[in-house]
Amino acid sequence: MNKKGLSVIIGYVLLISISIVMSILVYQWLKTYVPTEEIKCPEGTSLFIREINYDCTNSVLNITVKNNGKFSIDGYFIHVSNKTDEQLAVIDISQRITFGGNISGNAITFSEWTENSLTPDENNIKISSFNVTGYGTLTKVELIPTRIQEVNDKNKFVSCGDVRVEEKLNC
Amino acid sequence: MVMKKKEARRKQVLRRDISKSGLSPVITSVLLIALVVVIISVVFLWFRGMVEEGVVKFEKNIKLVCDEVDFRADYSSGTLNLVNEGNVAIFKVNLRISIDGNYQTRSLEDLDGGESWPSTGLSPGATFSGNIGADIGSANTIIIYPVLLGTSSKGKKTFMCEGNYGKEIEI
Repeated sequence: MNKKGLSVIIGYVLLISISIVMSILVYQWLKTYVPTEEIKCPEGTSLFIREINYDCTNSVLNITVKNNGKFSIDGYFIHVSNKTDEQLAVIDISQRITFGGNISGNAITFSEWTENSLTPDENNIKISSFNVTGYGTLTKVELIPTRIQEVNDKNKFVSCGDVRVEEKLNC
Repeated sequence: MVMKKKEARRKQVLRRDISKSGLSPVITSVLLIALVVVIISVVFLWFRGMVEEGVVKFEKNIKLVCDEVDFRADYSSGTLNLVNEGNVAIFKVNLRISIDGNYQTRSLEDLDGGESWPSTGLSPGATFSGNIGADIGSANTIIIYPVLLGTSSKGKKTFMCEGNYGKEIEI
């Protein structure tokens, strides 16, 4: 009768260890089903096209933008259209910028060194120029503002698709 | 005297029988644990085959990421245009083509006009334009479903955001 299979202590240790391991596994699995906050621009983000100068003879497009929202903006995606019957502008001209911004992937950033440099200031405007040779006569331009936001202690590039602005172009 | 000897002999036999156990307690404990572990493994492997494999993106279940997908699409004169306005890259696009009440689902990449679809997917702010008129023929409607790329225990895996995540275009 003195011969026990496993001591009581070992039994407890095994039981607790198995419980902890199983809890961790179940937690890791369930964690993926918990919805987290969607990454998007804060409400009140807004970009305003103050002036457009389209020279279709020399294929130059100049755009002056201003931040008329409550939050600073880092840059924008720029798409144009050369058709009248298309709802969407799908020609990306970000790589055609000649001055007034820097290329970052398929977006334009106002400053290479400062994040969200276009502050909501009445006098703060940004002028950019694009060479649109080879696209024919443009009919529309669309801008989607972008921001750099801190998400989980990391800076993330965020597209503000909800506050897209568009403008018709005339020669 | 003879009776006493017989009694002593009987007690001796009894004592010997009690001390002879079938298996030692240590062996039975080990056997028990091993058996439980084997049964749990078998049940787990069987159950895993029945349960849908979890695909994860941005450290959450990919079904939750479908809520964050934001794109616009239009179709005119045989050309399908797409703009990714959200913050999730669209890896592929599946088209559910409806012709006179019959449906077929095809990947945009497999169509002639979908050859220019970027191999890494449509990143945020990117656009796509392709002539798919010859492939969809006399279709009445097309529903565009985004396909995302996530990771599972078996490596990278695609997931189609079905149901309400599709965009229907009347042709």
